[in-house]
Amino acid sequence: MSSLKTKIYRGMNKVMLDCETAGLFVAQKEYDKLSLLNRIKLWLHLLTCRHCREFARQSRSITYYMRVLGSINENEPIHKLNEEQKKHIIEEIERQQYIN
Amino acid sequence: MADESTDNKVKLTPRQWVEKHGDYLYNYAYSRVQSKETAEDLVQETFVSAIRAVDSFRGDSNEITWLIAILKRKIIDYYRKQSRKKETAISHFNTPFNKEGHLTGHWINERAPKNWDIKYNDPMRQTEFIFILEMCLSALPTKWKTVFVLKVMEELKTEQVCKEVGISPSNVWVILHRAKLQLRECIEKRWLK
Repeated sequence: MSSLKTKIYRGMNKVMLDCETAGLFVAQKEYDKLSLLNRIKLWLHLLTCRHCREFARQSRSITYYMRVLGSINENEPIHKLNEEQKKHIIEEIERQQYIN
Repeated sequence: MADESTDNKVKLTPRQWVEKHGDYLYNYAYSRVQSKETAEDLVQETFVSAIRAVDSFRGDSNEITWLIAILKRKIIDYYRKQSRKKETAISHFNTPFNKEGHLTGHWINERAPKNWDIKYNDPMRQTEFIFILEMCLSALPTKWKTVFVLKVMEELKTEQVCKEVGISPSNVWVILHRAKLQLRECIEKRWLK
């Protein structure tokens, strides 16, 4: 039984991507561009691999929240300067102004 | 006399600048470098550069946009310096894919992604997710983090990332992918706890 399984997997591997390559394609598709042939390969892989479908979904969540994290359109900044840091910065700016 | 608005800008004291824009700039920097000290330095350098260049600020973009543009350049410079350091080795990567057998290149079952079930309409859980994301981001090796932030957050073109970090395009993708794999595993451990 296991040898039949092995044969099936070997056969599949010729036409199908492995998950590692599929993940690379997910990234290229998400952040850049992916050729038509590779898009088809990726689509075929995702059709049959639920782990990679999950991975692609997680990848989109990560991307989305990375951009939320980095955005400046938030009304209230998540991280703020404390008073001591402000004092530091102000002093340093003033010092630099005198130098120039 | 002729240009009153420029006059006003010069008159802004450092305290007023910092009170007005400090938190925004700091938040912007912190989310990209995950270090209080570095973020503070970057904000301070930004103000110093801005004050020096205040005459060249034409007022056609708003002040914060102009300051962010200066800060952005400083962050990229910071990243470039960081990524030139030799400390990070790509070999530390603990792959979640099978290395041998008929399942080579496929997920090791226990390490495959699970459903995160993010509720996009639950602000509390969203904040929690961002908190975990930041923590996991800061745990990445410097070079990986650099590539990941420049490509995913800053949305730089691949050629630009290559230029800043000094690596080839195929390396950008390999590093990006590995960074994401490590990030995802780190998030999953904490998120599904």
